[in-house]
Formats: sequence, structure tokens, C-alpha cells
Amino acid sequence: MRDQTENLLLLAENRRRRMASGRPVFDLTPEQYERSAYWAMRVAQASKSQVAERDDCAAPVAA
Amino acid sequence: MHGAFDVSLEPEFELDALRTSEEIQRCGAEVLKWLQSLASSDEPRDVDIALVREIHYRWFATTFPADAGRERTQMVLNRKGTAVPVEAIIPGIANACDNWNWRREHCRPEDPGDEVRFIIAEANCVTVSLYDVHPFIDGNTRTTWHVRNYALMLDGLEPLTELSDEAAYNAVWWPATPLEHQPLDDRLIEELANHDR
Repeated sequence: MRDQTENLLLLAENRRRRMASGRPVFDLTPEQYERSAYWAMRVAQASKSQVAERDDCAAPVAA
Repeated sequence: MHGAFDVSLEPEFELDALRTSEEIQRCGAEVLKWLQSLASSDEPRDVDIALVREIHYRWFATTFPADAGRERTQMVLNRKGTAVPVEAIIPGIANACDNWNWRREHCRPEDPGDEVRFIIAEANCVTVSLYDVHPFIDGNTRTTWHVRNYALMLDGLEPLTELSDEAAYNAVWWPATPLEHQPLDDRLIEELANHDR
């Protein structure tokens, strides 16, 4: 297991702040919503490209 | 969604792949906004089959309404070769969600750093489990991406909104299994920490 102590402490501290009221509070921007959807689409596209390159596709391919 | 399928594309998007893609991406952004409001609400939704279906529905309701939120009715070949037979889809989804809910309730560590690792590992586990079942004819990667974002947000972590190293992410995402996902966990910890700095 990689030593992630520093990263985990950082994430834990920010999580503690977000959960201070008892339920999570986020301050996401419209750009962050868009970027997350963009990256989901990118990863999905990578799966389609890989499957399409295979020549043994007897069933429909899915991402 | 893919040329190999007999899927029904909403007429206004026919023959316009770019516009279709842009519309799906727009919906994906709206899905995350909706999930954030759910996670922050007084009564957040459970991670269950109804939520998985609704996430898929919201991604594709405007572009592929006939398939949005509906499990596939034929066998498919996904990249990992993990897609289950049609009759095993619903049990597979239920099992993945039940396991996530049970471990979240019973196995949570007390140390804050360990707890963050646990949250991320369990979010990846349910994500990979659902992806491997491959419930939908298409859109499984996008649906499970936001299932994971919801699982992270429910426990106070930010959703994944950026990949600083796409190649590194893909290198650990595709080999991950429900039982072996530690490299994916490490990658996600690094990506989330990058954004939290």
C-alpha cells in the first residue's frame, strides 16, 4: 500500500470542515459539474474505442 | 449511444453526434448537481437499484429516452468481459448496493485518515461492482462514475471533477475488480487530494 498519509490527513481535515454541521456541505462551481461529466465521457469513450478494436465481438459492445 | 445497438435516439439529435455528445455531457453535469443536493439533504437517498436507474435515466433521458433508466434485455460484450447475463443484472445490482450499505454501517474505522481511505475504497468497490454487472445497454461508465461521486459526497468527500493524469487513471480503472481495487483507491486519493489543496 502506497504511503498516502499526507493526502489522507488533508482529505480528512477538509472532510471534517464539510461535515461540521452534521451533513456534508459543498461549494462546487458550475465548471466542476461540467468537468466531472466531461471526464466521465472521456473514460467511457476509452472503453468503446478499446472494445471496437477487438475483432472477436460476437455480442453488441457496451461502455 | 453506440452504432452496434438497436437503440432509439431522440429525433432532434439524429445524425448529429457532436450535439448528442454535448447534450449528454450537459445532462451529466445536471446529474452531479442533483446528487450533491441529495447528499447534502436531511434525508439523502439510499444507494440502491432505484438510485442507479435514476442516475442512468437523468444522463440519457433527453437523448436516448427509450433506454434511459432501463436495464438491458440482451447480452453485451464490455471491455472487461464482465457483463452478466440479463437475468443476473438485478441481483447483481442489489448485491453491490447491499454490500456497500452493510460495510458502511458496520466496518467504518475510527481513525480519520483510515476512515477516508475506507470511504474511497468502498466507493470504488460499489462502482466497480456495478460497472462489472453492466446493467445498461450503454452508459455504464458514466452512470457508475456518478454513483461513486454520490458515495463520496454522502460521506463528506468532494466528487471527482478532474483527472490530472488520465493515463494513470485508466491504467488502474480498467483492471480493478470488486476484490482488487487498491491501485484505483490510491489514484483516487491522489486526485481528490490534488483538488482539496
